[in-house]
Amino acid sequence: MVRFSEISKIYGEIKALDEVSFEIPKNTIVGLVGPNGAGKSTCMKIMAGAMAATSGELFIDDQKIESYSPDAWKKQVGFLPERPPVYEELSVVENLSFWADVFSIKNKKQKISNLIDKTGLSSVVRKPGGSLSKGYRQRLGIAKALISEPELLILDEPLSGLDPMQLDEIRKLIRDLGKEHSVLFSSHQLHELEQVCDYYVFLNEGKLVSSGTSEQIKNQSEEPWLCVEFFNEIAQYPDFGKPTRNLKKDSFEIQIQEEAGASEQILNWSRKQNLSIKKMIWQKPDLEQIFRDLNSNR
Amino acid sequence: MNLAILKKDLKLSLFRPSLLFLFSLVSLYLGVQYFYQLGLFSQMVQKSYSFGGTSLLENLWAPYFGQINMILLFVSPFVVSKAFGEEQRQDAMLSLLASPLSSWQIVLQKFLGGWIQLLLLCSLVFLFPVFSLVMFKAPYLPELFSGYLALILLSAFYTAIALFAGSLFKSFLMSGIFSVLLNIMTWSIGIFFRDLIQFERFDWVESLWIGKHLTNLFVANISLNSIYFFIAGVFFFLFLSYQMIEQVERG
Repeated sequence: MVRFSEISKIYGEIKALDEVSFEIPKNTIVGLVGPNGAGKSTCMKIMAGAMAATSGELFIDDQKIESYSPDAWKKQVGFLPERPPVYEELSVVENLSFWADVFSIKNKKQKISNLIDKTGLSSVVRKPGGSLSKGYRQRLGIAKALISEPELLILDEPLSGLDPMQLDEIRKLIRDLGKEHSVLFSSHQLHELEQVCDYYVFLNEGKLVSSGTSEQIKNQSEEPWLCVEFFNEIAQYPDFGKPTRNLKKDSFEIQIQEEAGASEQILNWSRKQNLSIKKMIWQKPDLEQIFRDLNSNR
Repeated sequence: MNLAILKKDLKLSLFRPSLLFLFSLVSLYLGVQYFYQLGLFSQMVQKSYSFGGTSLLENLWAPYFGQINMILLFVSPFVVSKAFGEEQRQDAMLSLLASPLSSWQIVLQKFLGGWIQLLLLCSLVFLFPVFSLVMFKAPYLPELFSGYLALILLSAFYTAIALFAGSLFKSFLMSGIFSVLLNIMTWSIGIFFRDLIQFERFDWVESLWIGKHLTNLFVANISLNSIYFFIAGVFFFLFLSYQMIEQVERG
């Protein structure tokens, strides 16, 4: 397990990260979500050892990162930056061979061959890096990140700029990798993460906004909205002391707990108003909505 | 010792057509220059029916080594200063920083890569003076060795400067221009103190001037001070490059 404890990063007067703490459990895919400039990349660079934190501590298996030699620590973390490192003049296999040398990997040939199979690069092995499509560049970047068989895989926006076909392929690859590695995977598009992640960390303006599984976050969120639609026009909207929105001539939405007898209240009220109900739907906010609300509340 | 970056840099640069073209151009130019000077020198020797080691050094080799210096001054920035910029362009710098390699290892391997390229550039032009040794059957091997030593140290010095310039700017052109300016500055400081303001205590300034040490070595006056000067200069600029990587890249 990797733990990020009260990490701050300050550039001059700008706080890029403000005492951010979260955990990445073993063999879990964690989505790091936030709008552009939220501090996702900074967070990942610190975790990968490419950047120093101003304060705070990083733990791997409850041991402070300082207790590891830089060599041992960095071999436990595989990092794919936002733009995958690809030497354009070198072929795919030469690119991987270079990174294997950088990480002083033994049995280099065997490992590269396994990685090529695992990441689906077999058809482009001899192609120069410069001629690869965006999807294959990401695959090569992921293969590079896996070269030291790391415990934790850090993928910074691995899905950005991919076409729908490539998106599906890379998502599947990440899901497969999550079975063997802990994966921290960032995006500013929450819907890109929803099909892949087990756990979410929401960042905004360098601060941790929320974290947990999809269910935990939904439970932490505000009360659900009840959408009520009528066959006839509403003369007067209800006043239950609860927030309402989307007030239209034949429908409205009210924020109310189901357990509090909300359906009964609405039925009674509509009877009194001579309104016949067309449909009543409980709308639990999805992650995207919660994330938007969390950001707008700040 | 992990030399992955050095091996990769040499593999990528030595087969780059632009570099091969540059090597050929420099070798051709210096070859023509050398043999032209050699012709003039032969005529001079025939007229005086004698020549000494000093004259061979002073009239042929020292000016020739001076020309190589001028070439290195302008060529080294454009060969070496893109060392870091190239990693940025290929989006590899962040991954290198996240690798087990330390910033010192990255800087030293980049330095060695650049230095080897400059030495290869010099290797062919180093051969030309050997012709005159054979031609005149002159036993001046130590003098020639001293000139070679000067050029080896000088290319290391220019490499370190260019590497530092490369760590300051992401643009090849900017780092190249800045590196040329730094090279010129290392020369002009001494000239400024000596000739322009005729500084009275020039001895002190002179010991920090590249011109003095290089001239000493070109005329076979090998002193440890001159060797220390170049080594200290190399480490000074390597240290600055290291600081740039630590402060700017690692934040």
